[in-house]
Amino acid sequence: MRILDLVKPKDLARVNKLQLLAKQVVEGFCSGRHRSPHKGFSVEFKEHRTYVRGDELRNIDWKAFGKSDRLYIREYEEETNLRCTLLVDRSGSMQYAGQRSEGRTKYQYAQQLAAALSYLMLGQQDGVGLVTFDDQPRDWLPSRSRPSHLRAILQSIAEDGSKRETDLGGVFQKIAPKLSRRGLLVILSDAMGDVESLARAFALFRSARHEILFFQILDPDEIDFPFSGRIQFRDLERSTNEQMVDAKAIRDAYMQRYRDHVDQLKEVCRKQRVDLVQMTTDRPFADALHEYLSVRRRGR
Amino acid sequence: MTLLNGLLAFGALAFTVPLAIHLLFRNRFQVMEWGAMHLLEAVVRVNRRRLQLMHLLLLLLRCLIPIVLAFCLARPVLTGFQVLPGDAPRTLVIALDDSQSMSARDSSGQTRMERAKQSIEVLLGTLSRRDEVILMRSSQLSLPVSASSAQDAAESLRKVKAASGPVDLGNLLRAAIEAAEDGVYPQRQIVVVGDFSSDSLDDASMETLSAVAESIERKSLKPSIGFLNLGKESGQLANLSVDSIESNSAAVIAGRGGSFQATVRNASDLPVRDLRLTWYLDGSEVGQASLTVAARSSTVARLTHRIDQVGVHLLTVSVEHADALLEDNQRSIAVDVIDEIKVLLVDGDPAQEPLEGETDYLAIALSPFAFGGEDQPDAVQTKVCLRQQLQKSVVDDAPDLVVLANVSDLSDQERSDLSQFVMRGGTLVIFDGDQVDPADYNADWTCAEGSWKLPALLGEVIGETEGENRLQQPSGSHHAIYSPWESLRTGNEQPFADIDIFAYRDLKVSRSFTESPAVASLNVQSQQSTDESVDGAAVSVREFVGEDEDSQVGAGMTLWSLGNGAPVAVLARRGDGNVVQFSIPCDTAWASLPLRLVFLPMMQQLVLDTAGNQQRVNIAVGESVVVAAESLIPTESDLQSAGLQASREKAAASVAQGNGSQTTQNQGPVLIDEAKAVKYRIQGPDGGEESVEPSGVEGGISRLILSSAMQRGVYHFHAETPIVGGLPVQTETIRLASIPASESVLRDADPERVRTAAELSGAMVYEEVSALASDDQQRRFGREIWRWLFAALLVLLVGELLLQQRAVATVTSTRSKVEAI
Repeated sequence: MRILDLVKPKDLARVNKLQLLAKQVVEGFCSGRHRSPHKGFSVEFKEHRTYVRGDELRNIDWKAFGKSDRLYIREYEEETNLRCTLLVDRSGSMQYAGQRSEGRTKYQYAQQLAAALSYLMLGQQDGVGLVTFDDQPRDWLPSRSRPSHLRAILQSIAEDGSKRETDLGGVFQKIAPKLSRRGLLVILSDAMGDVESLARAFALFRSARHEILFFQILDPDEIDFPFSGRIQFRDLERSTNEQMVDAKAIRDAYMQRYRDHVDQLKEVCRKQRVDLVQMTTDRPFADALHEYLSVRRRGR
Repeated sequence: MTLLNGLLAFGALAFTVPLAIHLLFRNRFQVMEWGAMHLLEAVVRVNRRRLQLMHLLLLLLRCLIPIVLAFCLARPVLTGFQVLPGDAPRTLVIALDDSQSMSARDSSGQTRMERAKQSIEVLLGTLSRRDEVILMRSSQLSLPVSASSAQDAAESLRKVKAASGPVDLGNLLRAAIEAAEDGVYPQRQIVVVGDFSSDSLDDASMETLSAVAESIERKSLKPSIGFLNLGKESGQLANLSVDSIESNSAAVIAGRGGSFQATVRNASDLPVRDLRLTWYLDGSEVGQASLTVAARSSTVARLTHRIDQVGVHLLTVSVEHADALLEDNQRSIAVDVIDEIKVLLVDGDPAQEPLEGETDYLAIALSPFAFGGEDQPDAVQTKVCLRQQLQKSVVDDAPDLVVLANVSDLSDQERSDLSQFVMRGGTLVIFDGDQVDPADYNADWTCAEGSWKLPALLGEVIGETEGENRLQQPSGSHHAIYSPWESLRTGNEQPFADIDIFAYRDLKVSRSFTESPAVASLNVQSQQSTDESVDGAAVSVREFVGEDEDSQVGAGMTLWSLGNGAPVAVLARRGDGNVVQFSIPCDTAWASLPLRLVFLPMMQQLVLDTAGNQQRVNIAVGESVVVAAESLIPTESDLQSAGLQASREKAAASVAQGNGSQTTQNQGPVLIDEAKAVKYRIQGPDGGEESVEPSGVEGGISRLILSSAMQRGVYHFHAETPIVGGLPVQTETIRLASIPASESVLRDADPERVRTAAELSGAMVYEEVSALASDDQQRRFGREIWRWLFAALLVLLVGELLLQQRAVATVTSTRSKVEAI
C-alpha cells in the first residue's frame, strides 16, 4: 500500500511538508550532538570474552589484541526498542490561534510537534504509536518501529481537528487498558478540562508503569489574556456557549483562575511523576525536543 | 431648597452624555472564538454580579459628575421645611455685659470688651437699613430702651466702658426679652454678649432663666437667642486686685487718727514681691507700703491717718502691677469724717459720791480722755444733766444722742421733745433701773411728726436686785450680726462672759421685731453693701437703717441677749433716728457691766455707730444714691470762707420747709436768701452734670436721689445756696460707687452650666461671632450647600478615577508578572 492510497494528494502534500519539517527540525536539532544519529542509543558495549572457534572475525577486538596479544571478542547488549505512544488532543479548544502565534492553532502546533517526535523516535528505531482524541479516542495507531510507520502516523495526525469537547480524563481512562505494555506516553494537549479526572487517568498510566511526558500546548493569549473592551467569547467546543464580558474587568479573575488551574495541574503531575512541559505556540519546536531528550536521558 | 443660579442647573442634563455613551457601547462588542472557555466560564460565573455592579457604579459616577457640577454652579440653598424670614426686617437686641470683668485682657493684650465691640460691629454689619437695633448694657437695665439704626448703635457702642458691677444673666436676658417685645418687627433676635463668669450664672440666675424660659414659651413671637461667650480660660489670667478697704473704727472723727486696712489679693500662680502700695486721701499721697503677696492668697496693708476736716473724703489704695485686669488695681472708699458726738446723759438717780450716780460709769466710758485730764480729744463729748434739765438740754445743746439712765416718768412735753429728737435723726438710749415706770415707757411716743413705740415692751424686773440671795444670770453673748461689737472679740472670744447680771427687765420684743424678716432684711442689706465689711453677715446700724423702708417699721434687732435668751440690748429704727433699749441700768446696781473692760469699747462703738453720721457714702454700682439735702447746707466755715456769717440752723429750717422756697422771717444775722431755691446738681464719674430737685421730704428732711449709680467712681453732689446780697455759696459732698470684689475674680462659668442656661432659654452658645453670624444667615436664608456639593464632586471625580485606574493598574502589574514568568 502506498501512502497515496491512504491519503489524498492534498493531505499527502501536507504530510510531506510535515515530514520535511520534522526531518529538518530533528536533524537540525541533533547535528553536532551525535556523530551519527543512526547509531542511536540502542547498541551498547557490554564486555570482552575470549575468542573461541566459530566466532566471526569481525567481532574480534583488534585493539585489545594489539595490547594484550590475545584474541577477544567484543560483546554488545542490544536494547529493546522504546515503545512510545503519542496522545494528540484534537478537540475544539485546540483550534484556537492567537495573533502572536501567527495564525497557528494549538492543534497545528501539536501536529508538527508530534510529527517531529515521531520522526526522531523512529529514526532511533524506537516504536511510535499514535492516539488522537477529543472526548473519545478517535484514531489509534499501535506502536511500530518501522520507518515506514512514519507515514501512517503523519497521515493520521494530518487530519483536521474536531469541534468536540475535551475530556482528557475520560479518554485516557479508556486508552489505559489498551496500552498494556510499558512505554513512553507523550501527551500533546492544552489540558483544558477537569484536572481531577486527569489525575485519575495518570494514576492508571503510572500503575501500568508508563512513563508520561505531558506537553501542555497553550496560546500566549490564554496565558496573559491581553484583551480589553466588550468581547463576546464563543466556545470553540460548544457553539451555544457564549460569554459577553468586559475583558479588562475580568482579566484579574481570569488570570487568577488560570494560575490556579496550572498550579493544580503541576501538582497532579508532580504527584504522578509526570513530566509537564508547558509549550506556547510561539515557541520553537527545538525547545520541545530538548525537553523530550532531557526526559529520555533522565529515564536512562 | 432654592437655587441662586437656577439656569445653570440645566447643566445637569449633561448626565445624558455618559449614559448615551454607555448605551451606545453596550451594543458594540467584538466576537472571539475562544478555546479556554473552561477557565473563562468559572470566572464569568463568579464575577458576573460584581462586574455588573462595578459597571453600574461607574455609570452612576459618570452620570452624577455633571449633575453635581451643575448643581454646584447653581448654588443651591437649603431652606428646610418652614418659611424663612429671608431679608425681612428684624429687631436685633444686643445685651452687652459691661461689667468690670469684661476689661480683662487676654494674652494678646486685647480686652474682652474690645472683642465684644468688634464682634457686635460684625453683627451690625450684617444688618440691612430697615433693621433696628436695641443696644442694652447690663449696667443700665433699669433705663428705658430705644431702638436705633445699626449705625447709631455702633456709635453708642464705642462709648461703652466695662465699669459696672456683676451681671445677673437671668435678669439681663429677661430685660432683653422685654426690650425685644417693644421691637417693631416680628423677626426678633437677642444676642447676649459677655464673658459668662461664674457669678453671672449663680443659682438665682438659673432660677430667673427658668422663669424667663416659661415666659418665652407663652409668647406668640419667640425671639431667637444667642449667647456670645467671650470669656474663656479665665483661670489662666494672672490678676492682682485690691479687694477691699475698710475702716477699723465705727466712725471717723475729725482730728483723730483713723485706722484703715486694705486687702490685696493675688489670684496668680506666682508670688508678687515688692509690690508698691500707695494710699491717697482726696488725691494726695498719705502713705506707702511694700508688700509681698503669696500666690493665690491675700495680704493686708494698714494705714493710720488723721483727717482734720469734717466731710466725706476719698481714700484710695493703688498698687502698681501689670496684670490681666488693671482696673481693680485701685480701689477707693468714701470716708465720712464727723465732728465730736454730743451725748446728753440724763441721770435719773444722781448721787454726790463718786461713781454712785446713775451715769458716772457711762460718762467715763464715753469720754475717757476728758476724765483722765488729757488733751487728746474724745470722739464723744458728754454732758450730764438731771431729770429736770432734760427738756432744756435737748433743745439748747442739740445733742446727737440722749441717754436716759434710770429716769422715772417723763412729762408729755419731754416725751414729745424726745420723740421729735428721734424722728429727726437723734439716737435715744434707754437704760433701765429701779425708778423706771414700764407703763410710762410703753406708751406711745408722740410728737408733731408722728408717734412710735419702743422696740421692746418693758415688763417685770426679774431677779433680786439686792441681798445675798440674788441670782447670777449667764450673761450670754452679743448678736454676731451687729458688726460694731465684732471688734470686742479681739483677744477675747467671749467679751460678755465675765459680766454678772443679777437682775434685768423683761423686755418683750414683739414677734414682728425679731423674726426672720428683719434678719433677712439685714442680710440683704449686707449683701448690697459695698465691700467694706469682711464678714458679709455682720452689719452696723448704718446698713440696718438703710434704704429698705420695710425694715424700719417696727423691726428691732437684739444686740445682746442672756444665756436664757432674754434680750439685754435691743436696737430699732424710729423715724430717722434710733432707739436702743437696755434691760439693765448703766451702773452696778443690777449688773457688773460697768466694771468690766468690755463696757468702754461697747458703749463707744454703740454711740459711734448710732449717733455718728449715718449716711451711706459708699454704695455698689447700680444702687441708688440718696443724699440728705441737709448735708449740703453751708456750714459756718463755708459761710465764713465766703466772707459771710449765718446761722446754720436757720438754713436747715429753710431747707426742711421745702428747698427754701417758702420765705420765713429772718432772725438775727441770717444771710441765706430763702426767697430763692437752692440749686442742686449731680456730677457723675464721667464729668457729666445734671440738675436735680430735692424729693422725698420726710420728717422734715428732703433728699437728693440718684436712681442708679451706673458707673463706678465718685458722684459729686453740689448745692448752690443763694445768699442775700451776695454770691451763692457752693457746697459739695460726694458718694462713691464701687464695684464688688467679686468682679476681680476671673472665673469662667462651668460649661455645663452655660449649656444648661442656654437650654433653659432656648439659646445657642457661640464663642466666635462668625459662627453666630453664620447660624443667623442660615436661620434667615437657609444653608448654602455648594461647598458640600463641590466636595462631593471632587470625591466623585477621584472615585471615578480610582475605579477606572484600578483595573488599569491591575492589568499592568499582572502583565509584568506574566512577563517575569
